[in-house]
Amino acid sequence: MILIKKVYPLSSEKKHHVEETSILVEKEEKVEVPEVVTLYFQRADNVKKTITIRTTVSDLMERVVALAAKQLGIKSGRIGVSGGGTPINFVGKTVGEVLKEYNTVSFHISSADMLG
Amino acid sequence: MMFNSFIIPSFLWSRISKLCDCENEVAFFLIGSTLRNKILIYDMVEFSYEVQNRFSASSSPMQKIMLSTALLPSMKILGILHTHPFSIDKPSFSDQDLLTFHNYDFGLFILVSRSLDYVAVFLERDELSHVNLEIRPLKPDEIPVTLFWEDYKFVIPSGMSRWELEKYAPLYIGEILQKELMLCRAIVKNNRIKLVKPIFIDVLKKWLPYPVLYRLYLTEYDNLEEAILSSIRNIFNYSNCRIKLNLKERLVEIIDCEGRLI
Repeated sequence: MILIKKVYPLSSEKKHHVEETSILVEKEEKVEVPEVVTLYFQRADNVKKTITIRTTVSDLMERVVALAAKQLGIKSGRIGVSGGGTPINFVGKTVGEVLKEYNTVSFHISSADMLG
Repeated sequence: MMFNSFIIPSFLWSRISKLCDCENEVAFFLIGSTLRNKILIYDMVEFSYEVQNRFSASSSPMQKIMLSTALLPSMKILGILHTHPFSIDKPSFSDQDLLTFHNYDFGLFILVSRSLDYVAVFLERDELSHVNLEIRPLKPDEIPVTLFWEDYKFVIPSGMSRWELEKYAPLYIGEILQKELMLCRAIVKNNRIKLVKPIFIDVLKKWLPYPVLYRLYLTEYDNLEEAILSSIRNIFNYSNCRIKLNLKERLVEIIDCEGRLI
């Protein structure tokens, strides 16, 4: 088990946070991601637009993101996804790989704006 | 049309005028709020370009995600302004595509030519209308002010009535909580859930004549100042800027950003 210490100097409960982060990492390494998961996608520019997609961990994340974008009315080809405030690199990865790497099931999604 | 007044502060317009001479297209997200029938532009954020040349400009989707997350309730991306460095002063096919793709539910799209002529189109309820901009100083009731609720802040036009504030405040609170919950992490221990809220710091551009706050959410970091500068770079496309940190107020002021005009 690897304990990752993260520093939160803005927090008034600094010590407490570090401790909790360690517990979280410990737990996550023991728990397997279930075979079927529900992913939440929210449009970054409109938080009222949120959808859920049930999928399997072996599904391709690109396919799920494309489906989410379509359901959220995003038609642009260039799509970006973030999870927990971190940009998600999902190209060529399965859902399971993304969940393990980024440790979240909720994602913000947005498109590029192309102008000519 | 629900909106019939589209206001850009004259100081912002004068800064745009200096950019129209650029060889490449420049593009900005228009940031602001609405007050009844008015669209009020308070700030502009330049694209972090994925493509930028004489004939096209494209934003980065990650910038849009981070910018949207940084906007406080009632502040929105209200549209896009971009320049055409050559003389064509009408929307290109790509510009028209952007409007018909419906990535925006409603929005103001402004095209500025080198000679500072503009074409402004407003999209609302799937209808496009050509509109005139009001380029002038903001009136007292249009100037943004900051409201406080616990750790949260809201930037609203000062002309909002008490009735409006009391009716909309719960919705603003719901909006920011929903946004923040997506960034929270949950720890479950002994049948209890504890939410670890994201670390935030508010950002103020020092040169704006009124306070327009943005909220940066910081994920893991080793060095706070570097993390803040990195977020500022990703959101505002300021590659090099000076900041002043006030940890007690959880506020960072962007003092300047090396010759950038906006």
